[in-house]
Amino acid sequence: MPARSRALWFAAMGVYAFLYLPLLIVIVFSFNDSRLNARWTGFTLDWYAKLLGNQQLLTAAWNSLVIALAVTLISVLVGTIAGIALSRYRARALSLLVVTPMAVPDILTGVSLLVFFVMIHLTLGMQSVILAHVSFCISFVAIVVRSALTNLDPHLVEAARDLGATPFIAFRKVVMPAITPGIVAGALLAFTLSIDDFVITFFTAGAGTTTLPLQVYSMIKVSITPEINAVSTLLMVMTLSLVVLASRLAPETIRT
Amino acid sequence: MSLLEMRHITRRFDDDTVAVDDLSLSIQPGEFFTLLGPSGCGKTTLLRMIAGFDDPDAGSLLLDGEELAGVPPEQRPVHTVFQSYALFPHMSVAENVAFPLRMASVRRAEREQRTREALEQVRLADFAHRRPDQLSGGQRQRVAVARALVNRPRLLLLDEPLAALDLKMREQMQIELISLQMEVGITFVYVTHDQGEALALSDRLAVMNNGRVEQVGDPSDVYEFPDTRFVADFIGTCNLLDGSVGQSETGLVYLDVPGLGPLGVASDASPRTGAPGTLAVRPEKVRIDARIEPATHENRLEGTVHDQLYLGDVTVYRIEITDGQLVEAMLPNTSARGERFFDFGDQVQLAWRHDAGRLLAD
Amino acid sequence: MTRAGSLQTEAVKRRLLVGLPTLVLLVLFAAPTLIMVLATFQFPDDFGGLAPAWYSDSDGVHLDLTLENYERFAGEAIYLKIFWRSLVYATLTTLFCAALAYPLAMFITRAPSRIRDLLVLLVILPFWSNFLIRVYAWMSILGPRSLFTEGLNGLLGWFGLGPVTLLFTPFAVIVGLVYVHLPFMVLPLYANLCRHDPAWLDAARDLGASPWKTFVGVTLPMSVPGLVAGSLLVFIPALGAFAVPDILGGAQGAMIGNLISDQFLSARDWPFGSTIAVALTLFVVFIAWLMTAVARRLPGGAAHAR
Repeated sequence: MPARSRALWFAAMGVYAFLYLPLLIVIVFSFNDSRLNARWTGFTLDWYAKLLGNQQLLTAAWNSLVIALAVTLISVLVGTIAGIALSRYRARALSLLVVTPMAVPDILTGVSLLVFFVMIHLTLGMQSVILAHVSFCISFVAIVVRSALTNLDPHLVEAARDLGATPFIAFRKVVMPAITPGIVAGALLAFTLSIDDFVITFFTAGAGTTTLPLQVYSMIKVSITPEINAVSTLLMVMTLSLVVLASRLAPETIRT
Repeated sequence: MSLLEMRHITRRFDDDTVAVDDLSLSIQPGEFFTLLGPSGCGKTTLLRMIAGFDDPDAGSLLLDGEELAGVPPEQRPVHTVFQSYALFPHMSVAENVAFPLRMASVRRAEREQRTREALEQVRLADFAHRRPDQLSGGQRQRVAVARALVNRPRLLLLDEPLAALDLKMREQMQIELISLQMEVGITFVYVTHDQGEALALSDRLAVMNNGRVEQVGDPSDVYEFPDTRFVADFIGTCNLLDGSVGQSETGLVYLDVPGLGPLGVASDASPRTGAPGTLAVRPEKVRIDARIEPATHENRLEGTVHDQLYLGDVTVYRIEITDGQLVEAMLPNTSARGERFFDFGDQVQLAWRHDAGRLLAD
Repeated sequence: MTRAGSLQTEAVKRRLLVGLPTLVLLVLFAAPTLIMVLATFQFPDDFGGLAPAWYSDSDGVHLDLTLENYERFAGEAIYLKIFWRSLVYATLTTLFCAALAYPLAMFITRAPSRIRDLLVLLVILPFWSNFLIRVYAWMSILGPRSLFTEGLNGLLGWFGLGPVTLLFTPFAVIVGLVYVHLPFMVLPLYANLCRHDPAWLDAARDLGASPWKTFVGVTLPMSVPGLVAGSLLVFIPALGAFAVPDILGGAQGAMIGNLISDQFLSARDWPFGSTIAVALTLFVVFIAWLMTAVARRLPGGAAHAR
């Protein structure tokens, strides 16, 4: 028995190492004083300094931020309504429309939106990327909000009404506090998904617009420099702080 | 030779709590033996050590004279009926029952034959192809018993197997378990915290508390002659009257109980005068009436009815003797139309025989 | 407010709450999907995009549609070959994910309850870093001059075997696919395993099963629903993977996703790209249906169907 648990322990630690070592290597090399991603030669912050001078990268980061904020705003609005609708009514069509996009491989979403945007003569750029991101972020927000509402005791609203609250006050005092963590978690999720998305953006951005992931992609494809390690490390720090924030604000809804 | 011999078994947990403390017991072949005690008394830990899921830190466990320590559970001729039944949900009833036979590599024809017999024994032959989640609680319990008995273990352990059933079902299953045990002749070790169940089922029982055995004996011995205050209190209800030893004569000790005076209690012991002692007497042994003629070999008290608890078949009266000192008496409700015999504040007399009480030395 | 009036406002409220998101998703999800299906019957435009689906002349309006794309897809061996290759990669990815996820999920299930949530969080955490970075990380590890590759080749040289290339090979693609999809296997498997009654394991041992037989006879069959859920979550995105083979695979490692993106971005044959995408969609739906149907018939499936 102890021998078997020890074997299990080693196997599990091996898998954790498999999950973390690659990311650790990226972080370590971002401080490496060598152009090659192979040997440690000394500590430097040069690559981070270079990032600040990389105008293309800064533009891409700004674009990503603008897109993510717009996407968050729109998808929280529509997604919250969808979440409330799903928890209240048996809306078969809506439920199918919410769940299916999450199951579709990214590339299919990407190319179908590309065809669609071109067909309706929408110019590819920031606006098409925002609409594309909204199309998959709504689902995530809706699911999170719905799960926050399913945990809500349905008798609470009735109790509030019974105790003299108008429907509006009952909504504001009972429903709102219950779904606020869900909405916050949904917003952070939408923001993270948008700022991280590569595949769908790749197809819907058109030629003139870059986002951070697109910029990272072209850096990887064109020539690999340790600058990528530095960008990657910064991105990791950013998303991780968002996740930590989300789990603080809405601990039970973030585990989806 | 006893079937299972437990010698000085001790089991401590990581946080240094002692679950089983220097416990010795022996279980005879063919008997229905019960470990009775409150939750946390160590009875389940003891059962897990017998089954092989846990090992004692000290002491030895002998089955048919052979040491069990180090033998993994699958190699012990000991099977368990779990509290949750632990039926495998992905197997049918028949597959569940056949599982131990398959593990013992019993040939297919014999396996099917014995599975069928085991299911007939618990009257579930018609349910062989159902899945466990399609059965009632009582049926699941019977499948668990059939599965544990099918390859005839030396010892069957039952861990509170009736706890999840409702009262009626529980009573019915108690009767079935007794007749099943007589039929198969396998030794049962039964764990429960339910004293009624323990008294009804067992040939012998051990009352456990804090990892130790307080008393071992047959049900009526343990009920009628509790050795310790814990046993008297845990099994049934009992008047426990604390006092100090006064004069004593052959076979009789008088206990001075504050507020009640000297009370006689039959005892072979000859405790020192002035030593603390407790008189235990069951409420149903205490007679209650408006007037009781004095008699020899009896204790007699006077008091007023303080309160009464109507339980349907009996009524329990609490009689206040002097300020604060209460004695309970139980009276069957024998009047034809259910009229009460006494009411609050009635003056009554109580009496019980010297040999109806028990002197506990603490 | 009258009763009829309140019923009416309720109906209006419902129409608004359900209608608005339904409309948005119809436009942003359902319509593009349908239009892509339509595109598979169209001709490509001269410089990418789609030729109009109809034209009108003096005789009136004519539809300008074709089945050519489907014929081409079914007719040329290279496309079926890449489909087959993607299927193999996705299957291997699913198998490796299951092999890695099983001990991890078992380990987490058996860990003390106070650290279990933390162990689960540690599985999800890397998943929150940018997808491209997780793929890129393997470029540094599998690159020709990395410690890992040189160490491996040193070891192979010891046995007299030639040095191997790791990056831009099918091996790199599968490693990358396993890496990005592993959490999707661990989580459903863990969710399944932690619902197992620990008494099942005790009961199996008690009734004569060795630890190994307990695993094969009880734990494994009971975890089938978790394995199926995890396999769906890994297999479907792995089959449609685009970035992983694009970055880690060479010409040898191209998958359906690369085929589709080539049609859209370099060959500029959108109708044909759409055809491949529709074929992939149909295939994904078929696989999902097949796996759930099989799982329902397996032991353990019925018990958890409730």
